[in-house]
Amino acid sequence: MSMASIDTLTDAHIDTVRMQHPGAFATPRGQIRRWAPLAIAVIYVIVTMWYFEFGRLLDASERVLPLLRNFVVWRDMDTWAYGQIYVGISQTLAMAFLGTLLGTLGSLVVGFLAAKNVMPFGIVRQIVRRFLDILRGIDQLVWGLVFVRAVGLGPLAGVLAIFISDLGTLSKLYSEAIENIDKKQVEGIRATGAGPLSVIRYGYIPQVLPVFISQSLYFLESNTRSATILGIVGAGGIGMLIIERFRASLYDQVAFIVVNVLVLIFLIDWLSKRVRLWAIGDKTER
Amino acid sequence: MLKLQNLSRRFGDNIAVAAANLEIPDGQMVGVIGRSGAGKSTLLRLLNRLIDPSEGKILYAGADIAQLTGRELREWRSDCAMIFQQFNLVGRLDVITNVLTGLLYTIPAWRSMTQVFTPRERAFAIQALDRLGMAHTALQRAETLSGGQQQRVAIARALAQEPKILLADEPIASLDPMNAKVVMDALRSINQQDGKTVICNLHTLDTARNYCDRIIGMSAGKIVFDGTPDLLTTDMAREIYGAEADEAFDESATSTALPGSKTVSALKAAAAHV
Amino acid sequence: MSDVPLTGGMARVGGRAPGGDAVSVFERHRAELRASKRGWTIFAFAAFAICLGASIWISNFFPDRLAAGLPRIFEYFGTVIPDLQWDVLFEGRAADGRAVAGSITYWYTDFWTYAVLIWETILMAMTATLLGASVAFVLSFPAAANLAPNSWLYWFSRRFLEICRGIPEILLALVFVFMIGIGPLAGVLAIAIHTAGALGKLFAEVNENASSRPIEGIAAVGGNWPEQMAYGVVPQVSPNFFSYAMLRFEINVRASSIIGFVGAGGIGQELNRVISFYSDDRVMAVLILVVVTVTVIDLISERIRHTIIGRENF
Repeated sequence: MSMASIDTLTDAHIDTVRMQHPGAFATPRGQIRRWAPLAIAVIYVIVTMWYFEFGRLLDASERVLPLLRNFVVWRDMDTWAYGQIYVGISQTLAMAFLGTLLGTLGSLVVGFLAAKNVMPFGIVRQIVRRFLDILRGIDQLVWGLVFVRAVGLGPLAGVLAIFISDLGTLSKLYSEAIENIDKKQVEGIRATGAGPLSVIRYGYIPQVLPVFISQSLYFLESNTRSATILGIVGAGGIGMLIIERFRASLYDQVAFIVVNVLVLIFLIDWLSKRVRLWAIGDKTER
Repeated sequence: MLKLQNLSRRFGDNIAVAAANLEIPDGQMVGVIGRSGAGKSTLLRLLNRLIDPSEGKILYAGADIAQLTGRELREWRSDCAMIFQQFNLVGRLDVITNVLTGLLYTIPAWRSMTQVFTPRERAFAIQALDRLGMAHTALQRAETLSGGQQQRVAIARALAQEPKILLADEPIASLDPMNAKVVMDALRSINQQDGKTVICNLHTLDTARNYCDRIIGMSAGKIVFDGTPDLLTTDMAREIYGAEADEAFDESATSTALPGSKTVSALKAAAAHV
Repeated sequence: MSDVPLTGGMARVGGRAPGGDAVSVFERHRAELRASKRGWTIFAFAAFAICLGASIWISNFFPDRLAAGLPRIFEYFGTVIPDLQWDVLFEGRAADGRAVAGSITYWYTDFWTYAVLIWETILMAMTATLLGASVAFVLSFPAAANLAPNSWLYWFSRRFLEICRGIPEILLALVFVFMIGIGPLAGVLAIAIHTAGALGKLFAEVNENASSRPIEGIAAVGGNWPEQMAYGVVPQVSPNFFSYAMLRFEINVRASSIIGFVGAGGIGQELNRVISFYSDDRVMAVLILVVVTVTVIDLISERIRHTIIGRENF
């Protein structure tokens, strides 16, 4: 039963096959159903871009090239305030470090309060969790703005912003790590007649510490990035210099600072990866 | 006539295929046997150009296949269908679309990228499926089928290519005896009724003996036997298979030779499955 | 009970004679290990202490400043809490159009302004996600090590995606605001570029985990590179792509709610205004709206992801 070649198929034959297997052939409704999502997405993007006045991008085209050139061509480099720039960068680092440290210390306490297997009172746990949800729901930059209003311009506001938003996220991660631990080890400690704090110290901490350390190091990395941004709302660090240079149209300096920050972030990533490996390796060895 | 001249392929220091010389006339059914790692799979992939040869020529209809690139290479691949041990279907696409991919070379780019197929193409794909007894599964996802069914869909895809040559790389190594027989029968019928050349890698000796006009034995990348099945002596086979000889001769392993009456119930179950 | 320590003691006594050596060997090993570790531990602590000291000094995180600042924080939060009166809480506007002080209507006087901006924020996030995801989709194939047609294209698309996600979106927004002026377009473009980079990396990773068999199958029938991608890869990876894009959409709603801080549209502009210029209940009003929006979007998106993926797997 050799089969007919595709070119020799007669229309009658095609119709017979269609009769036998109607589902295998394209129908108008099937086509609409297939293409509708794509069509809707394309139309949506076109309509919103029109609503957002996409034309302005085209109008700005003559401004774009000079602006980009100003980013790339660095002039009068000897007059740049390098001291100020590097102080700003170190301030950013200091903010990230302190904020993460405070966030970690705070989360050590709050994380246990939010963990189901440690906190026996459901009502306390629920209150703590809802509180953490609120902390997480508000962006770090908003916290930055709020703390600038509360304690004034400067790195203190930035440290507090990082602390508060880390408290929300790290506590949640910590409490999840605590809930996922091996119960047998805790029971072992409890069986020796240890008090509740000793149970936490010897039963929980050794198990969760590697997780905590690596989470906190991840946050140190991401906080270095966000501490750069916090300055834009006045919460200290290099971001304040960036926006100030921006306003003064010193785009070459902006580019210089951004390149420096990117290199710094790259270094922090690398360093934190090393420390993480060292810390975790150390803990599992014991 | 497919002609291989001094065809070689090296992977680093490893010689997978060493200076193969072969002439395969049109319409022959050829079985390539040898232990695993003997270079059978590399040889087939070289023919389809999924692997580029290190040196040597592949001649077909006056052209050197080994030198083809771009659109000509794709034309050759569409003329030279390949069936894989693991079927290589797109699991999350439905069966008919899988078969329709066999037509990709002939379809203009805008239609292939938007997956728009004409009624003629669809009818042709159904016809190909029907020949393998799989038309009823056309709208199922390929991954929901059993191994034997998937291999039959893969053969239907190869038929949709309307190839001149059909390559099959261990087509039955992942199948149970019942499905293996169905698949080998299908390949044999394509060879005999459509007159297409079939080159088939086989691990077991008896399958090759039962189905093929000609057997090529490979060992350590070299062609060590080339002749009709009756010329293949036991000593020769032992040389080809080396340490794996007993396994290859064990006809109950993955062979298509159906065992006797004691497993009739298993057969019935398998038959019900297909 | 009294014989339990006795048996334990017996066992120890019995084990001591042959084990005396073992204990000293163990102690020696322990001492060596501790000595080698001690150096590192001291180094780590010293480095930590130096970092801590330097950070405190550089960021002026002094106790007196903190002590002066902390009360002001609570004071500030006191001023932004609305003064709601229970007895007039649900009062509508009076006949002359004035709202009663202490009612929700009074608190949310500018509700419709906020609502329009929230709507704009969500539109921005959706448009930016769609734009960014399409760029990411196209580039994820050349940026996958196993699929890239040539090394040059691989290198180029990888670097491009890295640059896109390396620059923080708010900085990009700043640049766009300077280029094309204040408005949501700058925010959309900034978020779209960042999304392209972030999703492109994730998509490329998904592609790298795709099975090579279907791709080989499509290559073997004579399909060209785009066909190998469209038939061999896309069906495998599309559920994962969809999940990642939805997760990114959730992130982008947050991003577009703050990107207005630099003038790039959305509720962020209003948030910045009320926080910077007023310290009254309007701050709380906008903040609550933002948090509620973000939470609701998260819930909806999670529901959609589960429905679609659940149906896919079924």
